[in-house]
Amino acid sequence: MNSVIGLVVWIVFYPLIAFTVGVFLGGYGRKFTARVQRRVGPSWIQPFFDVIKLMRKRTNISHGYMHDISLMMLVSGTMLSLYFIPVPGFHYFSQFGDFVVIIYLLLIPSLGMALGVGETANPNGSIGISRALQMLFGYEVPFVLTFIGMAMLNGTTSMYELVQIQQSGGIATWGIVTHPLLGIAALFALQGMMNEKPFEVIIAPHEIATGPMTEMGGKYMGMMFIQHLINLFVELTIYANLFLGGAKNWFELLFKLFVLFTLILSVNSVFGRFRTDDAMRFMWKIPLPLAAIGVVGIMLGIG
Amino acid sequence: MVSPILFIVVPLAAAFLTVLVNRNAGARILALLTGFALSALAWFWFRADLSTPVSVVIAGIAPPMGIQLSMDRLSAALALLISVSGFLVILYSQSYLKSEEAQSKHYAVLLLLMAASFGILLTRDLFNLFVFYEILCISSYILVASEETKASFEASLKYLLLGSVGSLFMLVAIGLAYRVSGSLAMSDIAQALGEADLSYVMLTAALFVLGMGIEAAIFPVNTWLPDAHSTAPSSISAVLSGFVIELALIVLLRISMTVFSSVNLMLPLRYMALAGILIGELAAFGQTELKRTLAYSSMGQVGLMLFALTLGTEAGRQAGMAHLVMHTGAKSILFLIAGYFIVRTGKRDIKSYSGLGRRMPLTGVFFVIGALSLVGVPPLFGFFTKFKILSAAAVSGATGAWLGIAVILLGTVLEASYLFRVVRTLYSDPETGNTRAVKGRMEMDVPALIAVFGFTLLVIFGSFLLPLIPSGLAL
Amino acid sequence: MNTFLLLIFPLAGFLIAALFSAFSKKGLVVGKTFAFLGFSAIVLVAIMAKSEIGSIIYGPMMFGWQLQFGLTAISWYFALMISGISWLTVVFSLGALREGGTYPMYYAWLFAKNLGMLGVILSQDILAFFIMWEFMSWTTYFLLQQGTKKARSTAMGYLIYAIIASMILFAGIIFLHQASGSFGFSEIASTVAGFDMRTLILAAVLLLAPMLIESAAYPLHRWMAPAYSSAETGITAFLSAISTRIGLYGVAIFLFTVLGFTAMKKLSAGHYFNLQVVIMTIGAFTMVVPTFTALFQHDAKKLMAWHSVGQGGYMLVGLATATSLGVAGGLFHIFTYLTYVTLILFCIAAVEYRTGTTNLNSLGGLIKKQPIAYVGLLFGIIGLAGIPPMNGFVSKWLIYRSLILGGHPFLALAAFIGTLGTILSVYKLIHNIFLGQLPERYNDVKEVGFFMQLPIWILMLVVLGTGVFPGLILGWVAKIQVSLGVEPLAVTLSGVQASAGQLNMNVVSSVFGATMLVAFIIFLIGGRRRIVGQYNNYAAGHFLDKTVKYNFNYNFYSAYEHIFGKRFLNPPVKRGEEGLVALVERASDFARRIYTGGLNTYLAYSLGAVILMVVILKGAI
Repeated sequence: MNSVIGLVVWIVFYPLIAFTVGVFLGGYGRKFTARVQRRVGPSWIQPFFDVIKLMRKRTNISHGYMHDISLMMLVSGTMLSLYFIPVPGFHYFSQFGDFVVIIYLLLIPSLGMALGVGETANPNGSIGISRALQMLFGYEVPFVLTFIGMAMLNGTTSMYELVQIQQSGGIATWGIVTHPLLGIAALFALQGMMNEKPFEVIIAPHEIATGPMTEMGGKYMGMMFIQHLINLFVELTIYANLFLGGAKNWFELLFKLFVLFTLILSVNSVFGRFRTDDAMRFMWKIPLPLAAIGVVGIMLGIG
Repeated sequence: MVSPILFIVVPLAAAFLTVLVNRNAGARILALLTGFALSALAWFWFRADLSTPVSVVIAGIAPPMGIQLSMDRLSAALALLISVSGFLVILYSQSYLKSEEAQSKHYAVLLLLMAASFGILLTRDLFNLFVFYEILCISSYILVASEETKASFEASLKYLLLGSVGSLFMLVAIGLAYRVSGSLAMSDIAQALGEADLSYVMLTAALFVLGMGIEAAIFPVNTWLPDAHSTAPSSISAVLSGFVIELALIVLLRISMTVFSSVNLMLPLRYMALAGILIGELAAFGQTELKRTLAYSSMGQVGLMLFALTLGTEAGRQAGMAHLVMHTGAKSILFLIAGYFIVRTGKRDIKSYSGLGRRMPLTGVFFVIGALSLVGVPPLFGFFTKFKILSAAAVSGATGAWLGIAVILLGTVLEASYLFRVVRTLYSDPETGNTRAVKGRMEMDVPALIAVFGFTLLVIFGSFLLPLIPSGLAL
Repeated sequence: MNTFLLLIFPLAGFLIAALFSAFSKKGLVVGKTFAFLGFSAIVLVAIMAKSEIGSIIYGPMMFGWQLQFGLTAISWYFALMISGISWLTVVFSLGALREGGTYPMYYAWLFAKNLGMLGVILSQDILAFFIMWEFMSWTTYFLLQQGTKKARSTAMGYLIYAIIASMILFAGIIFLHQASGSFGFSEIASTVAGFDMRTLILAAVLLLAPMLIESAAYPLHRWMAPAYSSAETGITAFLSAISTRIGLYGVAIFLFTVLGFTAMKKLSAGHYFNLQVVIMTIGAFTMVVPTFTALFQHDAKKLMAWHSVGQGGYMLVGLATATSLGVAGGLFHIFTYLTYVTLILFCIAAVEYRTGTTNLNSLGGLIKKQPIAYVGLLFGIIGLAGIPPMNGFVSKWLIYRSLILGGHPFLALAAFIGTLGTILSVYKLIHNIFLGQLPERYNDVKEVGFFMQLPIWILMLVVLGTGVFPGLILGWVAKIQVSLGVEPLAVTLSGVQASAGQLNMNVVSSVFGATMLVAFIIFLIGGRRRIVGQYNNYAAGHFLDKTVKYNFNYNFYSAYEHIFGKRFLNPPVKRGEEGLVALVERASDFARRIYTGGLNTYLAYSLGAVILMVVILKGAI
């Protein structure tokens, strides 16, 4: 009985926790960037204020039902993948779907957003989506290869089991230690996945008027913010689970996310933006061969 | 018992009568009746018990001096094929030939050709064979030229010259054979050549085979065929492609297996057959005129039959014979229809036939069935014969059998692609003003339609005839 | 009895429909009614035939062999798919075929094609298989012609490939019959088991190459997309869905029943190279290359036709893994692909019916006009991309897992690349047709009628239903695996049991539903929304109206076209094909030139032939 109550509590509060962590990470990110640019920067929980403000807007412009549904798909897809990612104390859903499922669930928000933006009938939005999908292809290929390598090595595609295996021997069994090539390749991919510079071709405010967000206002923008914040947590946790040995408790997890995010923000702060095709070429020239070499190494039994 | 000599006498007499009548209507009816009578006669012989061949000696003079005819199961079957397809072609000609032409001449020569065909089939005497062969060739030359255009004269002349070369070869070969045997009966020659010097036999055999091979359109002496078969009137093309070259082929094979049995003619003939298939189909692939395409295709098909017949096994011979029957049906369909295409459009190019399939729905369907059978698509006759040839080749273990299978399959691919290029044109939207100018149906005339339908029945239900087709190539 | 009727009904349908169309110019209604009744009967018979699995009926005697027909687990699976899709196509055609633009032989050839396909899957010996195979190829050729003018020339391309396939198979049958003395699968299998390496390779090539041509495996795939895309759209759907998969049926039968899987493993040179790897590599190329060719297409039907090529790769790879997961994935993918490709093409046909075009550069914004076609297409592309909760996800999941755990990381990567390419191109498809700005000329476009909608609704239900409850189909797939001699997959109604991995589509889809509800509540929390027209849009201060072109759909993935365009639009395979054609033409020209028309050369041939013959005869002694 106790476990059932615990489960229900987790199911209800897990998205909220992820959202909260996302808010702090987002705020930290803005503060960090501001400090690099020698500004003071906004509050630590500025993203939270933004969400509240946007959700309370009176003018909400919609272009049709698909526009509305797409935002729901966006939020729900991210929450859905969140449930399947094991975190300390909660891995109930891992038994129903493995990492392949998570990869696919992560496509739901992309697809949802793409459909909604399409209906807004703005070419800037369409170009943004076109770039987003092309970038998706750019970073997913090396990322998936690193995952395939990890799964092959450990003989499982379950994320929970991967975490268990990595935790069995301390730092020495972390993915990034046992397979640095895969870990580094995935790090590059993560930079693209999080849509940070130099891979930030989707929003590209000066080129395509913030792309997918062009026609989003009010609560539509608000929901995009919510999704973005949860997504920060999701993506960073996936990397942590795959290569940083997951976490035994929440403190450890948050620390790992913080370190990882700092790394990504540092890169983001000092780079300009690639052209779309160059961004993809980069993904296939550096991380993909790295991952491939790593996988060949695993196949041949090295490392 | 009806004498086999009737096969020669009836058409010969009818031919002379036709010339005497010298009226179009009379000649048409006479020819038709003769064709029917011959078919009935052939049917009688086909049903007769021929487990031992029936021999007749003409005019009471015993061999080796007299004319000896012999009717066996193979001859009876081929006689039936010749007479029925001759009858259908005569039926077709009723509407196909232009009324202003001197038709009596045409029918007379056609009947002469049939008489000669029966003659070379039945005779067991080399010199008579030569005589009938000459009649066959000469009537072919006349028929090829009967459209009296520049191209047909040229084709006929070429045919004549090459045919004369063939006759010459044969005559020399017969002379050489006579020198050792002192007789013209095939059985005597076979015996004498069996004991003669091998090189001598080889030369004789080579001369004979290639002399006869010119009429049988064996590669590489089939050079006259594309011109002659494509410029002849289509009824004649159907006859020439339908049974004349095949008949020459069978006689050639029969003589090489019986008379020249001491040398292995099968091996070179097999390779010539394969070269013929490949060259014929490739050449047909590049043609733009329908009748020329069909003529080249006949060269390939003759190669196919020759390949099967030279495998040296019973199964091979049976398959070759079956394919011969199928080819008579299918090629006749295609040539006869091609004739009407030319009549309706006045053009010979395939591309001017666009849309004809819709204007001539029944004709179009017959054409497609003929083409499908030629390619060998189940459940049509062509599939059975091709399957039999291939499996006979696989089982025979003969030299080059697997190479042959590969060549035949390649040839089939080519054949399908050029024949169905035609079909595509037939069912495409008409582009040239020529076919669009006339509205409504342009179906073939009824006699022609019936004739083509007859061949189509053969092609569709031919597989039921398979057990009836004999294969013995004995004397 | 039902098995017998399964062949008789299409045959009778073909003959009656052909006669009918020959004698009647009009009377489309009668033709449609007849076809509807006929195909309904075939579906019923196919369903009822389940009880006859394992029994054999004997056909006519041929070449001293009694032809055998009968149902097995796998052929029942295919029979249901064939008859079901034909039925849906016919229902769709009830609405889609118009009086003036009708094709008289459409239904006749559809019946004939059914006969061919059912014949192939029912045949229980290799001779019957070949005969029905040939019949099927030719009916496909005639069916393909029932379309535009272009269809006739592309059908020719199909025909040449099909004939080549048939001829290779012909050689294979002749060869195996010669070796084993029989046409029966089991007799041949026992003969094949005793083959040495070279003979085995020959047998494998002769049997599998035609199947790979028919299933349009790379690099033998080039006939398919042009031929299918230029046919009438209902036929495109029907052919893409099931026709090419008969080739995969052949692969399954020959690999598992005739050649035997042990034989496949025996054909190896070293640890990493054997026949299995060869087939899987072919599959991997098929997954990737055609999918990216699809990405650059500007025509909806062509785009889908290229996907039909590409998705075949997944099925091939799945079957070739020969593991419990992989074979289940391959077989299930045949079903899932069938459902959503038909759905997608029906929706495209619905758009084509109203707008008269499938050109992706000239459509747009139709979501407001044809919402049902939009939702149908959406379900279809989610399935095609393999995103939960649609059925396409389950089959792809099985294939991925088998590849990853089977130690084929790069094949798994290829499969994933293929999927990403699919997502990109299907988004282009839905975006360019239904999203973006609606051109003025389509302002009075309406939704299609009942008969065209019905198959769309049914297929939507199937795509979602078998996605949430994959066990409905996977249960039978496991039975097929038993009959093929593969360890069956441990399935539940909701997915795959924990012993074989972890997948519970019920949980995934109910969590998805719940989170959608949460998202909906969040959406409701925000203020009231106002729906605006398409010209009320951000345009950097410019004013939009119908005179302003404000849309993005041409060269949708411009960066990719920049990087890859040339390579995929003019690939080496295409150049190879063209080279081969040129070679045949040159050979033909050479052969033609032998017949110079000059008498002197002809006389020389005659004399030369005599001399040559004497020489050969001399030499032969």
